[in-house]
Amino acid sequence: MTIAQLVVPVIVGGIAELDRTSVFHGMLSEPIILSPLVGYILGDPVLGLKIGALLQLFFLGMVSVGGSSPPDGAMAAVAVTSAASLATHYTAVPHEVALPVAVLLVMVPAGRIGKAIDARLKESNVALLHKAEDDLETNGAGVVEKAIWKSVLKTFCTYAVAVAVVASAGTLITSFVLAILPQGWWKALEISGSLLMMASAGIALASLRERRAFLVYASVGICLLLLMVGLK
Amino acid sequence: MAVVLTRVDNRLVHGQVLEAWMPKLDVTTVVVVDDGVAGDFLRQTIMEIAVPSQINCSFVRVDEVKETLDKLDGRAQRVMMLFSGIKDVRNALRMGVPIERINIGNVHFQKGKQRITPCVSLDEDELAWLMEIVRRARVEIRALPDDTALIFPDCLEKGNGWQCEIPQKHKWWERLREWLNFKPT
Amino acid sequence: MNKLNGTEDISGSAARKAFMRSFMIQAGWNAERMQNLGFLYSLIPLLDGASPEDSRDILLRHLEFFNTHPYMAGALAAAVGKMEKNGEEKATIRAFKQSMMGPFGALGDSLFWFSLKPVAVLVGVVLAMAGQFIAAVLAPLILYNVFHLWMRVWSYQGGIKEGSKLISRISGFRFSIINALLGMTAATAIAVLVVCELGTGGGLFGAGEWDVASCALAAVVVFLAAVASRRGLRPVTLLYLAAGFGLIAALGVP
Repeated sequence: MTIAQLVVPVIVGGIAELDRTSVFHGMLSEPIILSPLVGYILGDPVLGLKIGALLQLFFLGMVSVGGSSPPDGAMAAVAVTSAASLATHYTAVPHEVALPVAVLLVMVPAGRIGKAIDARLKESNVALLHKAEDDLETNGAGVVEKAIWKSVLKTFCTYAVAVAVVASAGTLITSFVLAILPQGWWKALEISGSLLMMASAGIALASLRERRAFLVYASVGICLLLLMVGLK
Repeated sequence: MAVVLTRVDNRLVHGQVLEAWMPKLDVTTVVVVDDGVAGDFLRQTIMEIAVPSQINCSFVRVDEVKETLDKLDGRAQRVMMLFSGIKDVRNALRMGVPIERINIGNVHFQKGKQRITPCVSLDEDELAWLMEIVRRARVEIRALPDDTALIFPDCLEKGNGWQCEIPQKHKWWERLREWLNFKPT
Repeated sequence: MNKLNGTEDISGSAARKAFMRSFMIQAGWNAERMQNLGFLYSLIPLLDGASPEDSRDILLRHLEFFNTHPYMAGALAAAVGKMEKNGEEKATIRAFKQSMMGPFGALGDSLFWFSLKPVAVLVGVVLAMAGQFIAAVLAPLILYNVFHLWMRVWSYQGGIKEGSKLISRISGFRFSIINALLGMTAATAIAVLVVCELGTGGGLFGAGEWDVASCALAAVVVFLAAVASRRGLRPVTLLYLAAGFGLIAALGVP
């Protein structure tokens, strides 16, 4: 574990949060991109892929519409991936067990913490706005630019610190639980992991806004199953 | 014909309305009440594109609301009325439009207004109009259907002065009971 | 009122600068007036012909509430800049801005957040469960951002060239058909994911045995979970229920 391997995910997380809230909005903050990336940095690309898939399915429908703050998928992605990956390095637990434990312990709190930070930042920007408005009379357009860049810096730093804290806390908690976990539970947790995947896929399907989504799912599913029967 | 929602929203047709309210209440007809939009073909065009094709859209002036509702009477339609401002609702009520419940969704902030909730800001005039409206209809403040509804003007008293405190979400056992009864909260 | 340099067109470099700035439209997002700071930030380069007093007046005027879809906010800023350049009425510009905010937001939301993003991301998920690292990370990024950047450029050009006629450009776009197609593609992707990958434990695309019964079972479980979620079961509750069920079922069996 080099220092870079611990610092780079924090910076990546900060940039991803910037993409999610302020700049570009080009899906860099989605778990399916972020988790494999963080997993690759920490040395576990495959684990990152699986966590990314699960988290993405769960957070698929949680989009920010009209100013609402949904639960934060990017924070969850970085936190859960680093928790699972680092925990498997410290304890001798296989990936299939660490994944469900990390997801169950870290994902939801991390998402909620990210959401709370988002709301706080949005409130704190009001002060920036008022100051810019007051200064606009005297100082002209440069005031707006200053306010924008101050806000960007504030967002990045707040989220970088938050990611570091949440990921570390998540890693500690996950490692602790994995360390005291009796080996007899491992198989059960593996099965739980598959069920978590299926539950998330169900949540993703339900979050689709298309009216005929269930119908299409059922028809395509039946066709594929028939195809598989034919192949066997 | 049932008027399932009468909503005051500065932005009229937009994300919250389309994605949350319309599916939840199974709306079949939208009546947009705004004098400016009723005469502006371009604005009507862009709003009609945003609304799903199976939902009817009509754009009327405030003085035409009553006859529009009368025309819809007798047909099996679930109607949502969208007003752009509180003054229009007051005028509609004065003209005899039968409205029982009014939902206040978005009233944007402007200098001189007070922020009541994150989505609703009111000034003195609007407060006065609302006080008049409240004598004839029930007024609630709610941006999204899953939010808890703040009853006006009770919410003003509970908070300190102008600020409305957002009450806690339903407890989990209440939500479980709602879910078991297949009833929306 | 507030005429800038009259009939000159907006210069290419100013337009490019404003376009680049429109990527930061949500940078100063505040709870009171939402995207207004970002809107101003994107508008400033378009006012470069004006005197300091004029541009200050215009900026103060546009400090009001603003909220729309981030990809089309740049187009609105460009249209407003063009209208200011042409010296149109204050009230007209304000009415245009405020009436277009809502529908543009709804259109962008339905096209990008609710239709395109699920498809692009689900393609990534299917590839991820198949173990393809590079493809799983790059495919959604490319699929999504090609369309995303095209929409930004196309709508921005409409705003710069046509001002308030931007509406006719946007209204010519077939949103409902594309949304429906993308939605059905997303549902198909989930079906492929569940039947081919979740039910087999990676068997179909990875190495290993697979049998139709477990694939069918996975498909049914996912369907039930989706129905429960639609009915109102919160995702978090469903998640922990599924995990708990798995644990109890596996531990309970001796």
